Amino acid sequence: MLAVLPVTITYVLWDAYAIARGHWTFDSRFITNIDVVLNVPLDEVAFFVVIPICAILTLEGVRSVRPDLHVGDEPE
Amino acid sequence: MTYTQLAISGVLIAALLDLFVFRTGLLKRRIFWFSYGIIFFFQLISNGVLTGLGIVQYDGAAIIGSTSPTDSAPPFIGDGRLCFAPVEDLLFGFSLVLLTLTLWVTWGRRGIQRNPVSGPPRDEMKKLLRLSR
Repeated sequence: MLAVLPVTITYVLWDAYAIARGHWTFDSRFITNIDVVLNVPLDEVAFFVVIPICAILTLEGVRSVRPDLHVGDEPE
Repeated sequence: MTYTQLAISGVLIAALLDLFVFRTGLLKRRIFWFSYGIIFFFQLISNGVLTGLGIVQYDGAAIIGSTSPTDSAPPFIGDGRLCFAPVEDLLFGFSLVLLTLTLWVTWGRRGIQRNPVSGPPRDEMKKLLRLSR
């Protein structure tokens, strides 16, 4: 939560800016069309929760099969 | 700012946080690049679906390439795209991953860890690896 939430907030704000400026748009046939905040669709908010979790799980997965590689947070 | 400028700024800020603010130094660690390599591969697939099917469309004024066509798929490669998606998305994804892992390791260093730690018991794993060599 502590690692994911700040990232979710930051990237949802970036998303809101990009949507407001028209950097990208979504095809309404493919999304829920439920806006959560600042015209950011629910799908995008979910994306910015799921992807950071995927990143953490990938790192932890690699850590468990390669204990010789150090992440930098190992308790001593 | 354009998406191109924002994406480059995002990478620079994430790198700054990793190397100098939180000093996690993930960019200097092999495990980060191993993990990112896995994520990169799957990003190309999932982002390729999102952009290839036109679920997300981009404005040519904001990216290196041109505006996403409305009636067909964008180029698979070329025109500032790789696997249908603008190259900016790769920078965007990289900064997202680096920032997340920087925070994860920062909290881990402050003792906020799951207990027991993830994966098989590390001492046993090391013994196993030694046996197999």
